[in-house]
Amino acid sequence: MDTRDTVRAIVAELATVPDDDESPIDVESLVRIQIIEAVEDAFDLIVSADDLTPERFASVASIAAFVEEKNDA
Amino acid sequence: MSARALESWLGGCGSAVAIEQSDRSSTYEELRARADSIAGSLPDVRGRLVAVHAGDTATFVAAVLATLNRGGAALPLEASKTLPDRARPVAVVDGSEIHEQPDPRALPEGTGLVLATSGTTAGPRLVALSAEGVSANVDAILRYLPVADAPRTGLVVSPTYSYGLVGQILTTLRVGGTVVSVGSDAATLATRGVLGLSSVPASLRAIAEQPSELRLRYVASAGAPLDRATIDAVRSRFGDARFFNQYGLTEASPRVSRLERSDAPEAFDAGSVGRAIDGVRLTVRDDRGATLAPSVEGSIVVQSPSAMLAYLDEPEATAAALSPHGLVTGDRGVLDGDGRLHVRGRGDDVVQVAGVRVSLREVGAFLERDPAVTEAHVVALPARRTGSTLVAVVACDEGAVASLRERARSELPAAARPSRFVTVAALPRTERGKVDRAALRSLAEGSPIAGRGNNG
Repeated sequence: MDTRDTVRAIVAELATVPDDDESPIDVESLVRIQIIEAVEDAFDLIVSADDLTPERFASVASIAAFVEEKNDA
Repeated sequence: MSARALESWLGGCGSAVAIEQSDRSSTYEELRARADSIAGSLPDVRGRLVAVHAGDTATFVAAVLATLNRGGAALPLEASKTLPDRARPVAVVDGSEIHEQPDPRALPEGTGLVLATSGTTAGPRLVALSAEGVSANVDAILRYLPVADAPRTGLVVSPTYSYGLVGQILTTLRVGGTVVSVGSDAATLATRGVLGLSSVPASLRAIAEQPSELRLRYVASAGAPLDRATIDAVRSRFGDARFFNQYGLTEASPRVSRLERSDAPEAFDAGSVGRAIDGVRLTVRDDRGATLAPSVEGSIVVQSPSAMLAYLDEPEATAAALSPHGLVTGDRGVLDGDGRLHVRGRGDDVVQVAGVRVSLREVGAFLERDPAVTEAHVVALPARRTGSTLVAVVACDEGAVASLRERARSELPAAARPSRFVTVAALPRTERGKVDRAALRSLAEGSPIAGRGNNG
């Protein structure tokens, strides 16, 4: 499973996954926080306050890009 | 010290059968003789505890009555269970053997029964109940439960619980009826001509769903929330029987309230446990102890002559439970416009998800309304950012989860949606038929997090 697949699986548990990975995930702020928390758990990373920009957690693609960036750092 | 004569507990006489077991029966005369014999062999038990093992039902009951008769307090113990450390009885009665013990503990004045409740974390609590309070509860139960009209009671819950010992054995014996202790198989209960049945919902449902010739005059539920599936199963199988839902707790000896279905079918089907029994006053209060208006949820507080004397050796827990307003049950609930109680769950039922108060029980009830789900229970696990995350343990097919998740998403507020679902064949339950919260928690904790372990 690549990073995008994993992110999609995480989002699917908490929200309706858009057909297109680039499309914004339409959720309440609480669910967005839960998605962040689930991403942290799944990829064993910490999302800092600086990382928490709205764009980063907007779509499956942007979350996956963020995770890969973090893992490469 | 309130020693009570055997006659105050035993309403039957002579050759009438008091306790019927698979292999033999004990008449009232035999039960009295056995209690007298045990009483004569006990050391001085006044103000002391006597641990009584529940192997043979008739011997167990005789030993409990002998202890009460001598002014002592009985601690019923499952045959297999070891003595709790803080019990320190003056004697242990195991079948026909009586073992005297060194260094017996003191008890609060008037203690007649000490019952162990399943502690949440730190081992069993020992609840000290007065003999007078227990006796008052027996009388109050007999004022609504038609034991006298259906004087053959099937004993299907353990005689060591307040429900079995006070709610069934002592009530049946006081009206001179017969306690039928032959297990919980419906066909056997039918063969033995059982007329009245009290149990926890899971067991009532199981008995109702077994084919049998059982003809009951009353069915009474307590010990757990009475769910719709059990109500339907009992009504379709025992349509002629009077049907009661009841609320109580060991700390109240145990009965607090009851509702008969025919008095208010809609409230009953909505799970109400009705109004306080005679002598008991029920209030719903806020955290500061002020009474709340109807329909406002709060803490259930009970004023009752049968309220416990103390948790042994736990002064802080005792002081917290025995408030100036009465016994704080630890349960939350509301009184409806007709003064009927609806229990909403344990005090720890309500959790906060990102600052929003969520009742785990209500989320569970929501999931149970889905036809694919037989049972559901929701567990809150700690979460770093939101405080709590909800995990639903659901008895349903794996394949039903997707649509359940969709329904939760469209119908529940975000805070109340389970973030994970664990499917099981049936919810884990304790011997008492209550949902096993510890087992549920480990199921929830062990549930896979999406993506975990797949990111190499």
